[in-house]
Amino acid sequence: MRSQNKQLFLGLYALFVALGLTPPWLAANDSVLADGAQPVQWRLIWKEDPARTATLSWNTSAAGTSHQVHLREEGTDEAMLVAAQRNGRYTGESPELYYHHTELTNLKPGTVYHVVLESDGTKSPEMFFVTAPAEDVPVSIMFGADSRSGLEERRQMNAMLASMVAESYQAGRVPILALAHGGDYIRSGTQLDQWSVWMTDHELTVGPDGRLLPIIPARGNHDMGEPFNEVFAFPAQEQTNYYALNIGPQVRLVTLNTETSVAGDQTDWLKAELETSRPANRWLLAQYHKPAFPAVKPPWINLTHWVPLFERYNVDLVCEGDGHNIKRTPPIRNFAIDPTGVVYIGEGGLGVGQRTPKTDRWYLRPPHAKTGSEHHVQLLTFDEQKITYRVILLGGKLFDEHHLPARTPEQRQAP
Amino acid sequence: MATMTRDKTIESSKLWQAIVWTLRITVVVQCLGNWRWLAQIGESPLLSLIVEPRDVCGLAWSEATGLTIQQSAGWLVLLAGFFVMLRPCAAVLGPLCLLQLLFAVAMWHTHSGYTPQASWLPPQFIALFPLATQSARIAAPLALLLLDPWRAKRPLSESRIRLACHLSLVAIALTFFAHGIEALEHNAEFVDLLIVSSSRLLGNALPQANCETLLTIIGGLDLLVAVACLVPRFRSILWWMAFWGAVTALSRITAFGWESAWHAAATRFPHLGLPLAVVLHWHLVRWIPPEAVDPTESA
Repeated sequence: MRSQNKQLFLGLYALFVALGLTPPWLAANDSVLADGAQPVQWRLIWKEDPARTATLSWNTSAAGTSHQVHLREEGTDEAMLVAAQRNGRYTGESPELYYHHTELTNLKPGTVYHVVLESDGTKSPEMFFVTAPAEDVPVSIMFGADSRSGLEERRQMNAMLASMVAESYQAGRVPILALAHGGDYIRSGTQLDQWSVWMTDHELTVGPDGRLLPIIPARGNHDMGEPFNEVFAFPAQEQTNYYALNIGPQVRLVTLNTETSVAGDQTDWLKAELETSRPANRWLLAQYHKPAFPAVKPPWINLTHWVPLFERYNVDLVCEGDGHNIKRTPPIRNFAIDPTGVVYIGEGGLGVGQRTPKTDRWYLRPPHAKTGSEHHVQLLTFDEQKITYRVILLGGKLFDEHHLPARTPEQRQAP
Repeated sequence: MATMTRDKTIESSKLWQAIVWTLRITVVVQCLGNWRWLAQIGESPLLSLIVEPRDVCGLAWSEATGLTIQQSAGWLVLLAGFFVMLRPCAAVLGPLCLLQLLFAVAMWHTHSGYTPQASWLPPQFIALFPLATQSARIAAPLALLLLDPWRAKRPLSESRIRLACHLSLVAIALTFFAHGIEALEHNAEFVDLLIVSSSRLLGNALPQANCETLLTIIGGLDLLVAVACLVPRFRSILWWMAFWGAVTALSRITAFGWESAWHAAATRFPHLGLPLAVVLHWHLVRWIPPEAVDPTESA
């Protein structure tokens, strides 16, 4: 009997090893960092009022002692020095990496700022960014999610985003101001080496002329752990990661977090936020990771907690990630197609392999809905009359275009 | 000879039958839950493992292949559950145990499930957390395989019974320990389970802060019983674990409704069945007639 037991366990052990595949810690890691205090992996983060504030962050592979930003408003010669307010070592052993966050405040709306990052006397190339406008002018943002795998596609997508932004600033076009990222940046949020690769790849969103693409981050289910807060300059140990900001005076974007309690304080916060922001904004959007109206997976708990609020406050558009496909639903109210309802888009294609949408679901059936399975980003353009929604595939092809009319003044009043 | 008598006494008792049937029902219910999950809901860590690209440790097979494998596995699990009800055997229970192990490995590889916020732990250890959370589900078919094998020589050896008991205990302890960590860290899904369940059952949703306080208490208690069940063998602790395993499994239904979540409760049935089987065994050992005990053992 003892030998039977032994055989059983040996068999189990052999199968376990056979199932081991590639150990996760041996997965692809091609993060290359410059030595010492050379600023690398820069990113511009929008979390509050992007017309007047921004967070400029970068990393170094040595702790250093002095970290600052040379900030110069376009049209002036004098640069202002702004010291990084938060510096520290990332959580995680490898690679040895230090973050530096500079909160830029009192900026002027719709203004170009040139920046040079400096750590212990070592400087980055000069780059620039544009603050959000104070006037009610047409603006665009991009929405994308799920860049945790398909690293080559992720890099190609990032390069495409930079081109799209550069083109959008040509005369007669509506400028793309930011990228709203719906989460799942990397595979395992606790593994710093993966974040390091992501941040290096994110540099590809900087245009050849040095234009920084602001990112508005949402947390995904693969982004658990403290590095998310450190990468995007959230307070240490922050679990909430939900916030709202205006991109121009009439576009309000609410970023929610499906990875913390959905039914608790967040829903109360969302209700208060929508109550205030609905009457004050022509366009009201939300972004988060796990979908309420999924194209592939089962719905998340936000279906019962957030969707009623979206409908009650007549949110215009909701951006979702996680499903790895392209999705645009018809306007939905009370689980039925309704012209006054809420449109759900997204599902994520910034690199991750694509799934097949389940078009037998009532809210995904053509011609009212449009779905697909290619790497993509969603481009949202806001003007006085409509939101123009476009899906741009990797390579630049237009996959879908749709227009959403503005809500009537009555619909914009809080109930 | 006396040991043989004791083994015969054990296996002929009604309590022994109760233990075996507890495990059989546990595995059958677990199979039903897994069938629903794999064949009908269709999104599992197994599918992720199959379709994820190789750069993130997946197999990079096509989605269609992954879905076919997952669906087939679901229906095979249902068939296996049927056989377990009729007559458990190694050919059925072995693969069931391996499937549960595969789920845990898939969760590990695809980083599904809860990520502990323990920054002092190396990430590769944190990634292994699903092996702990899933351990009772892996151990249930294995314990049944050890205790109720078809065509094995009877009576079963005492070492084999002891192995099944120890294995079950360690698995229960690991499961409670892992879930205790999640509760102490206020896992958002647990918070929402409490909020939604209280809203449905009591008519008033508990505030998030109260749920978090409750989870701290629950987490502390889970860790305590996880250790206590291994050290001093108080039967009341295992009765509590069985009760709490049932409550937490059923909380999925109270929160999300029968239709959406019965499978989630069913797959967690080992959290109830395994401690119940062990505590019944402890009762059985205690109730064996003195004449059946090997006199050399006490010496």
